[in-house]
Amino acid sequence: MKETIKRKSSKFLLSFFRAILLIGLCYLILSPFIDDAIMGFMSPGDLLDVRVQNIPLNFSTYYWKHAWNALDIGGAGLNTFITSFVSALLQVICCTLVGYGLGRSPFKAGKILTAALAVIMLVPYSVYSVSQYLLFKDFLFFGNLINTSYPLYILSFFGMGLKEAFYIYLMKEFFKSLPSELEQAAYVDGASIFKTFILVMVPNVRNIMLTIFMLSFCWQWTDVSFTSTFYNNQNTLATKITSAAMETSTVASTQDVLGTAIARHTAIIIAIIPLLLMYAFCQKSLVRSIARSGLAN
Amino acid sequence: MKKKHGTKKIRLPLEKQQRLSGYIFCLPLIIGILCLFIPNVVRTVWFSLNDISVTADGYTLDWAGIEFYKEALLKDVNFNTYSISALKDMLIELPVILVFSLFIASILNQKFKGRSFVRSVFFLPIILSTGIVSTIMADTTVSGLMTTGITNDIMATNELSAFSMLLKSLNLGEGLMDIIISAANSVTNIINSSGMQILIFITAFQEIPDSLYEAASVEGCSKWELFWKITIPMVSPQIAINAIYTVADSFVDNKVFTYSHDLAFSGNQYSLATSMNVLYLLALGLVMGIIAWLMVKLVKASR
Repeated sequence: MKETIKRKSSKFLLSFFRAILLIGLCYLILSPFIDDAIMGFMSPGDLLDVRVQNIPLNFSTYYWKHAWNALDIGGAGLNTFITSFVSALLQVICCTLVGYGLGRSPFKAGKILTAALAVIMLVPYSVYSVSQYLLFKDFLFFGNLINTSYPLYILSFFGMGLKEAFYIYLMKEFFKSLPSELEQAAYVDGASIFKTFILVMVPNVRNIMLTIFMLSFCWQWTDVSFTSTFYNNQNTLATKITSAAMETSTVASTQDVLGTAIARHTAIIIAIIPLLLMYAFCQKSLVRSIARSGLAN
Repeated sequence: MKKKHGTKKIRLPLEKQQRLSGYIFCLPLIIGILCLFIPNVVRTVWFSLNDISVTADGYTLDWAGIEFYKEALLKDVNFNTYSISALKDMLIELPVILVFSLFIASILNQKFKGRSFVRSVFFLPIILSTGIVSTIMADTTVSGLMTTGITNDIMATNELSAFSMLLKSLNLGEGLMDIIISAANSVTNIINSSGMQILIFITAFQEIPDSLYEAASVEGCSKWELFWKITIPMVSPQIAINAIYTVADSFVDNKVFTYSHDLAFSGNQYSLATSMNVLYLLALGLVMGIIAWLMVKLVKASR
C-alpha cells in the first residue's frame, strides 16, 4: 500500500515537472511569433505612446497592409514559390535515387561517398560562393545563368543544394532500416532492379520523401545567402523583407525606424503562413516517418 | 528467363547487377561532387593563393603565394580573435545542444497527453528558425525601443547577473560555470537550433528494439544503466551525425564567415576573405579531428 502511494506520487511529480518544462519551452518557441502577429496591429501612433508595450492601444491594419504591399506577393511571392517548389522536387528525386544507392547497394564507393557527404555538409557554402558565382556566370555552353533559377535547379539535382547532403543522409538511413525481404521477394518474382525501386521501394519511403520535400521547400523559401549568389535582382520574398520597400518612410525618425521594424516582423508572419500550412499538411508524414519502428523491427 | 521479342536478354548475376546499380543510382551525387563541389573547392583555394582583381569582363589573377594567409594571421586585427571566439563558442554550443536534444528527445519519446502537439511545436523551429526568419527574429529593434524605459533593460540584466551569481556561488569550477551560464542565457537560441537533432534522436530511439531493454531489466539493470549501456551506444551514430549537423548549422551566424563575407563583398578583398575561410576551416577540421580521435580513444578505453 505504502509502496504504491510512493510510486504514484513520484509518477505524478515526474509528469508534473515534465508538463511545466514542456509548456515553458513551447511558450519560448511560439511567443515571438504570437507577439509579432499582435504587434502588427498597432497604429503608427501607438509607437510613440509610452504606455504601449506589446499589445496595441488603437487597432489598425496599417502595418499588415504595408507589409503585404511591400512583399509583392504576385511577383516575388510567385517567383519564390516556383523556385522553392521545383528545387524541392529535384532535391527529392536526387535524394531518393542516391539514398537508395547508398543505403541498399553493396558497392565499394558507397563508403567514400558517405564520407564525402559529411565533408560537403562541413564545408560551408559561403566559402566557395565566389567560385560558384563565377561558375554560373559562364556555365558550359549555356552562357550566363546569373539571375535565373537554373543554377539552383542544377545544384539541387546534383546533390549540391541547400543542406541537401543532409537529406541524402536521412534518406540513406531510412532505406537502410527497411527489411531486405522487400526487395528479395520482388527479385524472386523476376522484377529488375529499377522496377523494384519504382514499384516496391518508392512507395515505402513516401513519408520521408514528403518530409524532405517539406524541409527543402521551407528552407529554400526563407533562404537569403544561398540564393542571393545567383539572384542579384532581389526577386524573392526573403530579400523583399530586408529591402528598402519595407521602410515606412525615407525619414529616419524613431517612429519610422520602429515602424519599419514592425513592418518587417509582420512581413515575416505573412511569409511563413504558407510554411505553416505546409507543416500542418505534412505533420502526419513527419510523425509517421519517425515512427517507422514497426516496419523496421 | 523469358525471351522478349525474340532477342536474348543478358542478365548479370544479381549481386553484380546490384553493385552496378549502386553507381547508377548515385550518379547525380557523383557528378555533383566531381563537377561542382571539387572544382569549386579547388578554385577557392587557388583564389586564396592569388590576387584577384575584378575587371569589366571577368577577373584577373596575380600569383601571390601565401601572402594573404600571412596577412590574415599576422596583420589583420580581427581574424585571430574572431576565429578563436567562434571556435570557443562552437565548442560550448555543441555539447550543450547535443545533451539538450538528447534530453528533450527522451522526454518526447515517453507517452503523455498532448504528445503530438508538443512534438509538432518542438519540430516547428526546423522550418521556421532558418534564413530570413531567424535573422529578423533576432533583431531587437522593436523590443529594444518599445520598452522605452531603460529600467526594463537594467532589470533584465540584473536578473541574469543574479542568476549567474547564484550559479557561481555553487562553486563548481570556472570553466563548467561559464558553459552553464552561457547556455542559460541562450536557452531560446538552443531550442531553436536543436529541432532537427531532437527529430533524429527520436527516430533513433524508436529503432532500438524493446527486447534489448527487456533483457537488460531482467538481468537487473536500473533505468540509469539502461540509458548508458543501451540507449547511448545504440544512438552513437546519430550523435555523430547530429554533431556534424550542429556544426554545419552554426556556420550561418559564424563571426568569421560574416567578417570575411563583408571583406569580400563590401571591401572587394576576395583573396583575403577566401584565405581566411580556408584557414578557419583548417582550424575547425583540426579541432573536430582531435575531438573525434579523443572520442574513439575514450570509447575504446571504456570497453
